[in-house]
Amino acid sequence: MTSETPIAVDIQAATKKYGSFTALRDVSLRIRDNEFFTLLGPSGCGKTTLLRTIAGFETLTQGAIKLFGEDIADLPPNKRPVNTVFQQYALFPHMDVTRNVMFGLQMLGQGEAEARKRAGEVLELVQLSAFADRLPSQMSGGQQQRVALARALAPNPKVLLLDEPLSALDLKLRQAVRLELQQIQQETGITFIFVTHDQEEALTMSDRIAVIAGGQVQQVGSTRDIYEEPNNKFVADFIGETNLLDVTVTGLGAGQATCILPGGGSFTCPAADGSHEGAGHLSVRPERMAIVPVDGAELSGVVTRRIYLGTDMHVEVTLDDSEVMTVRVQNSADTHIPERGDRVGLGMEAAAARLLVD
Amino acid sequence: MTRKVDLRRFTGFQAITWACLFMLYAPLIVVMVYSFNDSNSITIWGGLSLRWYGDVFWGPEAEKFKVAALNSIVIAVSAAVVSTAIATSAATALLRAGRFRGKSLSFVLVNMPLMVPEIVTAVASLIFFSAIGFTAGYLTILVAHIVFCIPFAYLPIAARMQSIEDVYEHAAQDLYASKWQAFRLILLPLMAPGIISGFLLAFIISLDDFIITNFVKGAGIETLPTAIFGSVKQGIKPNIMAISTLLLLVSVLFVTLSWLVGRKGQKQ
Repeated sequence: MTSETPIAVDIQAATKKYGSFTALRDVSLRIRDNEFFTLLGPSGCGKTTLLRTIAGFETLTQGAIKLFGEDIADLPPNKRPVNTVFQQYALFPHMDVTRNVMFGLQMLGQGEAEARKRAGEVLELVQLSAFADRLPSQMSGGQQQRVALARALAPNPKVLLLDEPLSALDLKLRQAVRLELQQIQQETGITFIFVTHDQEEALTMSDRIAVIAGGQVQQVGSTRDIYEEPNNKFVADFIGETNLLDVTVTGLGAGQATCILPGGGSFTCPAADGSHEGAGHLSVRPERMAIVPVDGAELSGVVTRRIYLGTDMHVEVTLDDSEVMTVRVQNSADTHIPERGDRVGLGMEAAAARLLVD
Repeated sequence: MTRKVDLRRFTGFQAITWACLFMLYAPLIVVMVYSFNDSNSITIWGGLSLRWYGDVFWGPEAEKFKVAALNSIVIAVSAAVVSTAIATSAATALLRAGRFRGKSLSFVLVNMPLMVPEIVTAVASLIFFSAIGFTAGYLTILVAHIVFCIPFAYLPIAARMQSIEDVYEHAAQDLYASKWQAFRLILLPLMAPGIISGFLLAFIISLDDFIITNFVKGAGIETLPTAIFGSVKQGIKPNIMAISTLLLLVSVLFVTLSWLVGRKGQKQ
């Protein structure tokens, strides 16, 4: 092991097939101890299958899963020191909040008094002490979500799995719970593996993210890496917004690529691994583009739409070859925002753009 | 909104409805009303009285009815207990054990008694019991009742189990419960309304049964329905109406109870 941080979950070449459908294809991931790790991808990409495999509800067709070095592939869910916060919470409807939280502890053989004390502590952590005697049906969605979290934390698992736990909450609540989850992760020091399809959620909470699509890992990295240095077109497009320009690569070297832009100009920028000469995609984030005078600009076109976003304005510019680029302009008194129909130039720094492969 | 068909507009709908209701309920109402008749005749009204109810409990046939009622209750309770247990296991296997060979066949077998004409089951059971020399009277009735009660207990239990997502059991297993603990501590309590409902339904089906009981019962043993039939053969006396009314009351009570318990479970 190169790093001194121990590996909490080590997934090695995991493949899961359902008949002829391949849900996971050769997935390898090393999730570090005490990390907030997010599995991010569109629905049906295999992220939940991967989570269920770690929990023990699915068995791998091929590959191995190790938990702190121990092979757990053959252990049933109740023998694995991991707990899950389920998407539908799955609180036991016939037990009050305290009983729900005590359940895991009692199954581990703790006595009534000890389990009750620990349940009290965990309920305090999620600020639900006042609701200890309620039935789940008497609580709001946000409260139920916190009970589910408390129940999963109570046995002090080595790894906590969270399966889209915020998807049923409304926006305001979701934002509050994000911060709370992050704080609880830091306080408890438990490794969190969080599944979501919401890239904003992933970016705000995670230490590292694995972007998954089509049952394969597209990229693993810090939130900054994933956003600023996407590996491929899918990642760039899925995380945040980006402008993708079809270009022709004419030269490659030292991580830089020289390419021909649609307007005929030549442009040199960083290139992702695996780039090759020929057709490629140039990705530029809307906030990294600027509206500049037409003369001497790399690209030029006509403003076709302006979208007001409060603090910002999205200006859509249709290039001469009919590709549409979006520029994010800050709404302030001293910025000039062009009107619809204006002819403008678009500028981008070399460092802000990135050449990607499919 | 889609336009709903207004049944009341169909020609003859009202007449057919009244005819059906009349055929179904008029005989029951006549029996109930005449059970309070003071006369010795079953057709001539002689004033209001509880005389025949007294006759059921203390009259010349009272002893016979008491023994028969006790047999009926013991058999109904035992048959309901055993068939509910079997139906619960069957529902768990069919709805929770995933796919296995013979799953559809098992489903058909469990529900078969609903489809086979009762007289066929009765004759077949009689032939089968005598072929294997099983003529223990009481026990033959019990075995036969358990068998035909299973689908009636199965229906509400399976309906309930289908409405419980398996995520609860998964959550329990995730929290270190074994499969058996997840079943006993989580699934079983959640299924309780369905199980109680199934038990009550099985109980009343067993209590009311006549055809199969009459075929398989040994000599000298009577359940309430066969005892009533025996009395009727010697001529209908008003006490039969009183005892029929009592049986009807118990039946309605249990079916209502079964429905209420089932509905309460749905709301949870």
